[in-house]
Amino acid sequence: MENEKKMITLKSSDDVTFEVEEAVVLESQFLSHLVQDCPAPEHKIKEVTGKILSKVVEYCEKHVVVVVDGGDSSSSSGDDLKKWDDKFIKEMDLSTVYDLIAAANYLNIQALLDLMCQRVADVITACKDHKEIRETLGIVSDYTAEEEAEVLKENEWAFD
Amino acid sequence: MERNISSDKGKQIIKEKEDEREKKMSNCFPNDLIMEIIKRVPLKSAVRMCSVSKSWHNMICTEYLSGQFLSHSVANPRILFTSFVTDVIKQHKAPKKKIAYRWFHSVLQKKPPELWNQNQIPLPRLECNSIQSINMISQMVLGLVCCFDRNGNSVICNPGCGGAYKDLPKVNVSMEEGTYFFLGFDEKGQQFKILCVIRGPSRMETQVLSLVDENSSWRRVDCETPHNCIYPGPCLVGKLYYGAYYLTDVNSFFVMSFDLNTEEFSVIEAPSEATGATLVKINNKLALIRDIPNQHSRPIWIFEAAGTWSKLPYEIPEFTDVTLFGKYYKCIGTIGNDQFVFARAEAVELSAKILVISSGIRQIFYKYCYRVDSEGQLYVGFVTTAGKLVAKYINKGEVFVFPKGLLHFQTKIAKSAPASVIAAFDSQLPGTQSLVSSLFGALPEDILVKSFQFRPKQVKRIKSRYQPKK
Repeated sequence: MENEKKMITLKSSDDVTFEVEEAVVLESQFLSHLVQDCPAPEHKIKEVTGKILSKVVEYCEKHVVVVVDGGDSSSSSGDDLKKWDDKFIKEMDLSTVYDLIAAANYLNIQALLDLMCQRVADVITACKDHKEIRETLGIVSDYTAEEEAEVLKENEWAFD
Repeated sequence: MERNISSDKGKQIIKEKEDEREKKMSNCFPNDLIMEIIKRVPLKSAVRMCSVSKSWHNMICTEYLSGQFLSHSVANPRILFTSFVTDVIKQHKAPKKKIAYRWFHSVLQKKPPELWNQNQIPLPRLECNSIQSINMISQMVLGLVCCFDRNGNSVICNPGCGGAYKDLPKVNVSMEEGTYFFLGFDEKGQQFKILCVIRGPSRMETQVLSLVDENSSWRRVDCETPHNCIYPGPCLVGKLYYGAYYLTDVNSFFVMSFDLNTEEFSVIEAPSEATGATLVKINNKLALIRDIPNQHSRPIWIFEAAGTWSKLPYEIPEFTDVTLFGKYYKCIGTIGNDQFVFARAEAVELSAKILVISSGIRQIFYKYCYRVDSEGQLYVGFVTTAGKLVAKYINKGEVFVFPKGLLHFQTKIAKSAPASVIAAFDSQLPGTQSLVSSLFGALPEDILVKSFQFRPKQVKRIKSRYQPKK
């Protein structure tokens, strides 16, 4: 009876449903409050699409399992988890990363938010100059040529 | 055919839609999420990001983010190495030009000393005007240093931000007078202050400059004790310390403390055996370590909160490394709580040996030897039977194994210091064969022509450089 796990159904904005264990849902602070406050079997998350929710569920499931099993060999499973995280973010394009940041922020999953923000930060760090950052992140500059030259001159040391 | 075109078009439309969405995402993130990202990038990248767009520039220059960057860098303290170098540049058909610069190099404190040489990112050097060589340097305070000379010139410099520096107003002194500068941070008033001690045959004066804005100027601060400073010391909890002697007695020694907030001087008498000691920081307390040439061990005194000196039960023993024999190493500071750094007192060359010595609770033991510049570096490698190149750079103390019988090479990196290697073979009848000289020295001409597909004339030319062994 104790081993029987309570299942909860999550529904994305485009009506894709995911059946997950309660422990998985508790990774998200937002959802854990939601589940506690209204014990309905199905919860609709209007702000997150099915594609992104599947990633979120994948991440939470992985992290829950490790936390539960990690009693005896915590260090090796910690390494495994890190490897899994690396693989998880490597496969993603930037727009998925953005969506996941928004979703992690909305659902309040701090670990996922940290991971995704770090990923974008790494992308930025790898850029050699401001033009590359603009290109990579698709940002349109609102500087005039003179203003840009001035800012560049001010911060000359960061470009070499 | 038509179908292909239409599907291509479809793809293009989808791609355009995606691009549009991407742009929208990065522009429409709430600011707090963008800040979450920015605070994770290194400072240098953050500064690059300032040039990306106005909104990013505004965001990066907020107090919240500078606080984030500051707390990150305070949590990951670095060690700064610096040296003053003069160089003569030989120019073609032009007079020789003399340049002087201050050279900086920094490493993360938590990196063990044996790894300091690896992946080093040299900081840009600070070029000095050769006429006014600001060749002396204050202790580092919160990432800033003050470079100065005896004639009242000084600059404030941030080695971390590409050696950006700012000239400070000149202190007016006469020819016979000398100046000495100290940098400190007033924690109560949250501002940097610079103390200048002027010493001449007829007078002794102290002046203070607060780094507030462009128009800061030197203010005279009175000191009741006529003294001269001899050794710089650390800045601790809003107080500057330095070793000094009374003008009335050149053989005296005491520690002068200057409160950066109240701008008052106070004299701390030092233990009589500690005369000539260096001032360092140990466990966030002021400490004296006496290192005198030909002194076998070095005693340490700690200045306790009660205002008394307590001598530590351990001393730093004589250095046992033979390469250090007969050379005078002076303690130049501490890392963290329990590591002492020693450097050659007269070292002005780039390749200075630095010793880092760790102290236990009961005893201090000699730990590492380290050279600041990259010592002779080698590029070595071999070719596997599958034709793949396996190669790497090796530094001092590293080992590389060439598998038996495989083609291999080793070469010194241009511009690096001379390197020597110790080679060992694992065979009863060891030997090496230099590939090029045995190929072109020993093999007959027609074989070479066939295998290299050269013309006989070319082969002859190469062969002429490698004489066959008789």
